[in-house]
Amino acid sequence: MILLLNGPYWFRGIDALFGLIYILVTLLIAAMSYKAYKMTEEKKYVYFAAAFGLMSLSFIVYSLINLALTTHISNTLSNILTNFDYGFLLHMLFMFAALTLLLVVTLKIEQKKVIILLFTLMLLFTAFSYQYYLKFHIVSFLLLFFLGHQFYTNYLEKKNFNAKLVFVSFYLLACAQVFFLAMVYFNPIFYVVGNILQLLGFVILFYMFVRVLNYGREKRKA
Amino acid sequence: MGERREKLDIIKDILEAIRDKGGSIKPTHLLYKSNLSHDSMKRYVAELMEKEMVDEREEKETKKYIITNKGLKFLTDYQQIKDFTDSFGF
Repeated sequence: MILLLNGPYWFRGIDALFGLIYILVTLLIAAMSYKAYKMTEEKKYVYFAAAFGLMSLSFIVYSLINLALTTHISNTLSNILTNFDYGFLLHMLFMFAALTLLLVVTLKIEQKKVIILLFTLMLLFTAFSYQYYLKFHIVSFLLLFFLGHQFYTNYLEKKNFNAKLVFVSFYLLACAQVFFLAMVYFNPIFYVVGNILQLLGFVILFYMFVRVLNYGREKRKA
Repeated sequence: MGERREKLDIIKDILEAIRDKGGSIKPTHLLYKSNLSHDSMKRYVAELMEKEMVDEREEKETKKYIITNKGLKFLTDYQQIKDFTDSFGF
């Protein structure tokens, strides 16, 4: 059995509400990437959309589990979720697939062998893992840190404010994983800090999205 | 970015040239502004007319191309997609 409800008692359910924001932001980015695909017909955009779609699915699963356990909608469901790891494993699987796909697209990895290897490793890691919670956040930290670094390199190249927002948000998402890990060893309050950092990361991504939408409109008016 | 991207850039340049001339432009001016051969420009304009992004109008016995709302929407979408993809480094 793994930890499904984390952090202090008063925070239970609030993280699920945060989850709604994560779902909204990831879905918006997925939709914009799909729009880019429809316009350019370049496959990388459809993969990017799929990555954010998977991230959204991962948060949907996590929020549903949390809501089911905190609101006690059904005792049978609560028992299943508490005694089996399926919910968390599904959340983990979607998130790993999303981050790996994101890494493949942003690092422009084109060799099929490398892509297959990465996905196989992620799949094996999820299927044959114990201490799920720890491993999930360690691997997420590494993937998010690499993505943050890649987006930082892009910022240095483009010197564009939106690119800055993207790399800052991914570094914040990576930092959040450190606090999720600290919760296990130190204090449940770190779970709250981790969630606040994660929320901040997604709010910054959302701000970038709004800027992209508004800039396009301003250009049209000009 | 590939052939498709180049085509999108050309379409954007044509539409921008019309928009920047107040929404309508003479074919000769468009040829100069778009930096295309006569045949290529005719082909692109025909495609844009087919997609209802550009319309043709006679003004004082002079043919003019005008940008439609659909054409303006394309420019907005193009700018958004470009900003979005630049933000992530594509």
